[in-house]
Amino acid sequence: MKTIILAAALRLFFPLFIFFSFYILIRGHNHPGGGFIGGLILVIPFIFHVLIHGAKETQEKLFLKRVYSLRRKEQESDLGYSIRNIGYRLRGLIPWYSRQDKDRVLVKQYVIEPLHIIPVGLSLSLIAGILPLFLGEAFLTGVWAKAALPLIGKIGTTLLFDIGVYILVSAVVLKITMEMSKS
Amino acid sequence: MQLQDNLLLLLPMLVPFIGAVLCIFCWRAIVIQKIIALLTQIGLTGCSIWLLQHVVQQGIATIQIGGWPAPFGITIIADLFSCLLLTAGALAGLAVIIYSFYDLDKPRIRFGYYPVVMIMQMGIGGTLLTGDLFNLYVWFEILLICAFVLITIGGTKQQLEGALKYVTINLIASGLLLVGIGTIYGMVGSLNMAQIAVQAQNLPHMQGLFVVASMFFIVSVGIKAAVFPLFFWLPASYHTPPIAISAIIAGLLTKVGLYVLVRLFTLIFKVEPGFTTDVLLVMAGLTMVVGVLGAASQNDYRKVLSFSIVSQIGYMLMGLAIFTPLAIAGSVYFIMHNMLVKTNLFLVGGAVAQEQGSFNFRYLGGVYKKRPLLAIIFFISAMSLAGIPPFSGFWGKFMLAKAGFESGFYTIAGISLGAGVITIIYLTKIWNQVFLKDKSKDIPVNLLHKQPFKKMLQLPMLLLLTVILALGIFAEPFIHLTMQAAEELLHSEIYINAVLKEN
Amino acid sequence: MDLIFTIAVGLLFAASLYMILHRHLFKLIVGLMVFGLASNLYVFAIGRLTREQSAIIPGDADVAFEPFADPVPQALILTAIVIGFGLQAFAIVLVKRLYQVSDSEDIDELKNTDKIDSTEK
Repeated sequence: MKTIILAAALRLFFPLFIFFSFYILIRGHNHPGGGFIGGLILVIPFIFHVLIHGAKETQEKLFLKRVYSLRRKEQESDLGYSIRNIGYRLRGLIPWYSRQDKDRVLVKQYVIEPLHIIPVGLSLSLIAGILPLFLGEAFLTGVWAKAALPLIGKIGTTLLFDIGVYILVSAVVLKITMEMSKS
Repeated sequence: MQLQDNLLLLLPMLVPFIGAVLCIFCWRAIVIQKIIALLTQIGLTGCSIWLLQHVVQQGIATIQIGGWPAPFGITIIADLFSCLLLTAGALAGLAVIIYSFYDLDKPRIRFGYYPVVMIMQMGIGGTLLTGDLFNLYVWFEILLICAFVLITIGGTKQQLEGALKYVTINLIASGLLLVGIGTIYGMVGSLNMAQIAVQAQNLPHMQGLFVVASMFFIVSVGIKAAVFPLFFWLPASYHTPPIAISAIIAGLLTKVGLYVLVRLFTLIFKVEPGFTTDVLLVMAGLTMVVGVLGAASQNDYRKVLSFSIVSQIGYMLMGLAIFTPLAIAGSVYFIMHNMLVKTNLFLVGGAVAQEQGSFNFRYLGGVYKKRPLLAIIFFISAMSLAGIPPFSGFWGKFMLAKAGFESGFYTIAGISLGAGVITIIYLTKIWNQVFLKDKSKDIPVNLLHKQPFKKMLQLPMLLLLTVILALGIFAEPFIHLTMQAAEELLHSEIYINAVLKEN
Repeated sequence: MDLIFTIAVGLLFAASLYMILHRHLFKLIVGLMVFGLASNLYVFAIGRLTREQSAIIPGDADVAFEPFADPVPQALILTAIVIGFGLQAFAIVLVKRLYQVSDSEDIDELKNTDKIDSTEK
């Protein structure tokens, strides 16, 4: 189902959904919202992407991770090369930095499967549960930091738990979507 | 002290959960997954024994999740009954995990066998230890969905067919369980089982509604435990997956369902002479009879054992229906013994099939000559199942029958003894067909690709056999423990006080 | 209001059982979904219907203002919906795979595992 209108609209709505899901996640402590519903909202644009472009193209466009390195200069020592590479990778973390390097080479590429994200969410929630044990409280007690962050407000283990749920839910739903759209 | 108390009760759930998370992290590395699974199971067994020893010495242990006081938060509680089942389940799980190293095929392991088994163990631990009705439902669903995944792993046509029946009937059961919980909440306004038990005594005008709610629980948990009119999904699905999967499902799941029945009907709904006792007695008797008859009529190792599970469920239900301390103790002992023995019998079948390539009696034979150790393991386990003294099944059946005769339930006690005779018949049939008779000559070609027999397969069976023998020959301390557990179950105020009067 | 909910729950249960007993694979799935919804609605209805406020405590107060709806049934239903979501997703994938393997949508033909000599091995 390849419709241009939907595809163009999705491009606009993609960041909107993502920011809105963050908002729902963070507001969840005192108001309706939270990790589960936030995770579901996060997945909506991805599901639309799968609907429009198909599971295979979604994987290639959104979940294919390419790792580049610099081309090796002649007579360069191992140490110098790896230091230069680390610098290159760090610069790559800046979002709007993309140098059109002619001398970069593709080292490896891999697809980030939802399955790789699921244990991350699980372990975040688990840590949120276990942390209070070491402070002498019961399992899963909410432990709060003294200071509050701007925008987010007070942070505590409940937020960590919610983030875990958020990641887990979005990964699981993504997995189900991918599984069902393959045929 | 606080940390230790918390850990004591949480570890039976946390250990498998951590194991599962680590296993998913190492999704591709099968060898690492195997190591993690083994360590997790050993750790789980250790934790269960630690918890059992603590509960034996100091009585019921409780903690509150999140520090919320009892009727409002979720209570985790361990009494003798749940600890005994937890230990037996962990031992059976350990044996199956070791067995799976040498039997289960690679594609199935790649599909996530170990993480799913770990999460199922977590679900079992949670179901046995929770003190909150809705939490119980959630844990039960967790272990059910793991069972669904396990049954379908591999995706052969037979497996999918069996799984469809299993999933459909269990989804209906889950819906009904939720309805029952909703009814209880609507009446009492609480989900804490101890609080519900207190309120149930204070609401005499609602007794009729309590019976209605109890019927919801009988039907829904009865489906999951495979009691008489609701058992047909079990023989249709349990024999389809490979042995490493069906052994753990067959050994543990129905017994967890039965645990829920015993827990609810000792704590919340008292078994009263009249309606509930009659329903339970009829169900127990018919479950035994139909189960043994089904088992005697089958020609497939796994199917015989699947029907045998059904018949054994009848014995456990019978103890609940008779409702005297001795009968409940018999049930507890029987559930424990059955978890271990049934798992072991399934494992023996898997080892036989690995060498001979079949589960059908027509194509099997001559195992006794070839593998005497395997035959001895089967013989002792089967004698335990049939209830021949001095093996473990005897003590369970003895306690149940004695309790039945003492309290005047002659019919059900008689049925139980008769079913025991037929149990011996179908076990003898397996013994003759699989172990004694010579292997038939005209065997289809596709069954002739024999795998070499792996001697290590006998290791987990010997482990279980040791426990079964100990359970039978040194029965005194175990019977003492189960009697104690039955006393705790029947005097529900001990449980209630442990939950509510803690602070 | 209670009466409407009661009738709705009854109708949903009846419809879902009819669908589950139907011999078409797809209707089985629909039936299972409706069954889950019906039991959720039952829990919602039996937890007392209150048409006032939600149990959210305003920022300047210590307790919520009476009368407020009981939040526990809502929490139960939310959990049950999540569980049901997972189970239904699994059931859909299962039915799809089964349809691919057996090439039939008729449940009556899926009785091989019940026969005595069914195992090919």
